[in-house]
Amino acid sequence: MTIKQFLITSPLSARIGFGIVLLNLFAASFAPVIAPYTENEIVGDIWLASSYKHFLGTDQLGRDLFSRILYGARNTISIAFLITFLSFTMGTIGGFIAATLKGWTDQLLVCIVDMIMAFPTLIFALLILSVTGTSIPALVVIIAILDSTKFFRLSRALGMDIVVMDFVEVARLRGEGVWWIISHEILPNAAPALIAECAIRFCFVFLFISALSFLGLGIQPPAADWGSMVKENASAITFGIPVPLWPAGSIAFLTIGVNLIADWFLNINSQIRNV
Amino acid sequence: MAPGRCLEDSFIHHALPNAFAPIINIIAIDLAYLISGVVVVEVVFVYPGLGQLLVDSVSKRDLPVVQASGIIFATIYVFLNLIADILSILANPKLKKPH
Repeated sequence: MTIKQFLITSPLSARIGFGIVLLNLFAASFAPVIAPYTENEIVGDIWLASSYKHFLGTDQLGRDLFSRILYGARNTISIAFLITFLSFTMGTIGGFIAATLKGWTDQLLVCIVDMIMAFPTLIFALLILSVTGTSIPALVVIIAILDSTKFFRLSRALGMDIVVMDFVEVARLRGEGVWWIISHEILPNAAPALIAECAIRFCFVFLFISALSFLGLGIQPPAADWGSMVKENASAITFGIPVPLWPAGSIAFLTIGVNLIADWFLNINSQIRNV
Repeated sequence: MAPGRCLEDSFIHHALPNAFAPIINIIAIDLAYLISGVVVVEVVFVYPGLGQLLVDSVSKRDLPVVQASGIIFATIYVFLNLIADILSILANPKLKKPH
């Protein structure tokens, strides 16, 4: 689909969603150019009101909030994207292998996934974080593994439906390997639902990192991150200072944007299926 | 509608048993969500509960406490799901049969 076609055919909500996501990506990639100050520079008194000099005021240590939100976009979005990508890859490959091979491989994989899902996600993440310590690579791997269980469930269910189709039987008779069947027969047929799931999962990962940062176990200070910025400035709300609302609003803003796109994508695919 | 029955009666005897299973499942999932949500809530309101203890122990890396409270949360979570399954089977005996 070309950009022109997209602009003509897509509904307003999808266009708004794309606008929001592009704005966020722009802010994340050009943060050092746009931001008036650096990430950790103390530029004035604490919790200053917004002024010409400090667009959204300053935070609890006197750092410029607008600059920190821009740098926070960088950290939060890139980590969330990495996690979604990793969990998507692990989950779908596992799910498709389980659906194709069946038998004890399927049983074993389902067993492992059920074991992980028996714990509430946040509690399980806290459990492992207490062992590994809070570093960004550990965070990425843990959340990716926990999230891949959802992808596994979905892709296994989708794969089960596709594996019994005639064209997969033919491919099997032709002597194609498991990997070929997964990548050439199952993946293209399951892709729409998986991509929509990916977009929704991205939002959840985003909120999950924010929740962990809020508990003080996610991205560590002084690195800027929206979730931890809300937490650090939370006490300002008792004095009627709107500082924690800005990073919280940024989280809500991006989540809405990604959800609008996911909705549109699901809509298109259900239309194709109905025809 | 079954003959000779009033509206309430048919709701209770026909609609409810069939609608009960998904309702119970949703309630169980929501309760499970609240169980893990309590961790965040306790930190927000500085309420000295199990969630706060868990988070504090994670930042102190006090592994036995983390394991113990993790197990408690997981047990509640698993039992909630179990109770939901049992209740939905009791409400709708059709679910007893394998598909």
